[in-house]
Amino acid sequence: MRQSAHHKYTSCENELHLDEATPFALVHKQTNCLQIAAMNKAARQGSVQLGMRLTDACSLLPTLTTQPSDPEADACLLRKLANWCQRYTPVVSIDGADGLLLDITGAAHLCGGEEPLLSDLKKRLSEIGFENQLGLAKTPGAAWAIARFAHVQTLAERIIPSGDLKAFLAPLPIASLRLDENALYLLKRFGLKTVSDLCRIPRASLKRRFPSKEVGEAVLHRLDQALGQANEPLLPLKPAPAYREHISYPEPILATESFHLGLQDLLERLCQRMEKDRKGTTALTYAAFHADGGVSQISIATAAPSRHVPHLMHLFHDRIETINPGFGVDHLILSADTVETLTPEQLALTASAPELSDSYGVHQLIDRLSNRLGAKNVQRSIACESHIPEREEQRVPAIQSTASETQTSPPKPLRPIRLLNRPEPIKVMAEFPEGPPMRFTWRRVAHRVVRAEGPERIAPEWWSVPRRERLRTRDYYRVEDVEGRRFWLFREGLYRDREQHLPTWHIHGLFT
Amino acid sequence: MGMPGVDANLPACGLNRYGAHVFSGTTYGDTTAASGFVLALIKRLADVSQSLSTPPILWCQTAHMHNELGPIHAMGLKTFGLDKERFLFVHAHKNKDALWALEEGARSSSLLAVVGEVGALSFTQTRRLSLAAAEGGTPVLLLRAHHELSASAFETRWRIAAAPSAPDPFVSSIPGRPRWQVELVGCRGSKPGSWTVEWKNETHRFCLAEKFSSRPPQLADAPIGTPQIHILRKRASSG
Repeated sequence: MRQSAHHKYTSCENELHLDEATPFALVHKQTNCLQIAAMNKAARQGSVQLGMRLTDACSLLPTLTTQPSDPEADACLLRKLANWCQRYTPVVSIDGADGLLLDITGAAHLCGGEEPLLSDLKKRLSEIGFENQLGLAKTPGAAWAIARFAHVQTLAERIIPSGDLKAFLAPLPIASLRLDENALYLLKRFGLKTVSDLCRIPRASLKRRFPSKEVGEAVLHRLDQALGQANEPLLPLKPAPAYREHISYPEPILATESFHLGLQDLLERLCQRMEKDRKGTTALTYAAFHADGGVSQISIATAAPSRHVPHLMHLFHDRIETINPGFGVDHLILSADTVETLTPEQLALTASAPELSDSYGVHQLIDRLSNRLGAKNVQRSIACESHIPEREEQRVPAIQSTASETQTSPPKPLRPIRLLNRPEPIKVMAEFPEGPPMRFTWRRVAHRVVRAEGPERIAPEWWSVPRRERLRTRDYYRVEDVEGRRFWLFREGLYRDREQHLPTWHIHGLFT
Repeated sequence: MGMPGVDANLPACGLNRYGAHVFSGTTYGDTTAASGFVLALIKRLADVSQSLSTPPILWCQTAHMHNELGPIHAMGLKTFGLDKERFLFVHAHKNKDALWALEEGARSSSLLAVVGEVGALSFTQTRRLSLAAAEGGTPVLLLRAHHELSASAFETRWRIAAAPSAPDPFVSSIPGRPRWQVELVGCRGSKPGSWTVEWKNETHRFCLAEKFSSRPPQLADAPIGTPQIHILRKRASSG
């Protein structure tokens, strides 16, 4: 595994339109003073250092321009940059406040090798306006150390060949091992300044020198990680997709037609690969990488695994216009985020079998509707174990669920065909308090009840809800008015319950 | 439709599968009656279709209709012998989205029927729906508010009102089987007509109601309170 880490400084310089010669720094407030959080090259040459007090820095360099730092905006920018770096490899993870780790295992050949990849990355980052330091090594720890602490200029020297890790890391300072301040302070007091000093001491005696076991173990663990003797998995922003296809353009493209053509090409390649492996995808992401460092992407999802190019193309069709090309797009990536096994379909045996080219199945229809109207707006109904009418049924996105077998539920009294969004209060006149209503008024219309059935008593779910939030007991009646309309009314609460206020009447549903 | 009297009046001897049909309530309160009638029609369609398993039904509702009368309650579909698993509910924010979904559903030819609860439609939009229905061979059934009567290209136009039910043969005081006053307002190549139709819950079929039983029930012959208590006692003793 080879990785590269790079280092960036915040982009405020660009916003202020400062030239490179003006010393500039970002400051953040510590407990009792302002400290330097980041600075540009000119300031660094004026011997301003990280963590220096602002007053000290100003006395050294009176022309220093400063701005308060904004860590949240920096984190946001770094995430954007991490997304953009996915053009090189799907495994990108954010490292601290100012670094990125890219796992380029098996991805370097796409750029023509490791050195061309690094030089391309460096060129592009510099063009966007990021000062950067790169490093490439077999382990994340070593790449981190090279990127931040190596004093070499050419890119070729920043690539450590595998096997030589110890020799390359030996002259670097202890801080390149990603240790915490406490451990660094202790090591400095021991007189250990470089990695080679640390390697020279036997492990057991080194561990004994620390006041606590944990600190000693942490130092040794970091050393092992840098040298590749301990495993260090990266935590990528997104899990790596199973299939990925990409196109690079020598010149940035802007026209929507080019995105269509690019997508068609990528889809065909992706589907061919999936067909070979007998797979189908249920989620696709189409990402367009801007030449000026941004990404716009669109995702689609399908209800059943598919590798049918026209169908997938159709799902993307309306959304392609929403891609913002910015100042031009020079790289397109299509990735299948989730794949499932899909066995090849049986083709029609005779030529007279019905053609399936025009009409399409229900799954495809669900995909089309869900991708245009939003997955949550295309629903299926599933039954829930509850007696409360509004909780009996639950709507789930159709794209995530397949039609299940009908469960046989115990027979229940008739249920209305429409259930109001929430029970609406009504004015009721009843012959006697605990009987069905005689007249009621709903939405300003008076109804005279001629027939009624009930009550059907539905008690609250005492086993699942605490007493205070619990609904009151409901007595449901099915009533018909003079004109033949049927309603589902209920009386909430009981007359004999002295603790609570009087029962109230509501309408909950409509029958036909 | 399975109603000899009504079917004979229609040019296709029943509801045309290759067309769009519109159903509206006679008054504001009859919208539910119209949706019930549409559900009953869907059950008839499912029964006469030859396929082994019933194809799904697309039920598309705009946000306005959803807020007005609520969604279709899946548990209530049992009255019509329909399986809630076969329903695909679409919630559209705009009329335009709902119409797109209806057209897409009708064209796919993989559905039993497409039902839309939509707002005002222009003549062009109704024509598009008719064409989509003809192309896909899927009937488009539209539920509309009672006050919309603009020109349309629909195959048939129906006006549905709730009708007082016949008393239950065993307990006269409870609501009986669903009944509708069905009026065929417009139909190409046919006369308008009006019928009282009853839905048989047991056999899931329509039948024309007999005239003498359509008399509105009198409040005096059905004292409400007493039989209710009787039922309660029966339940208490059995349980």
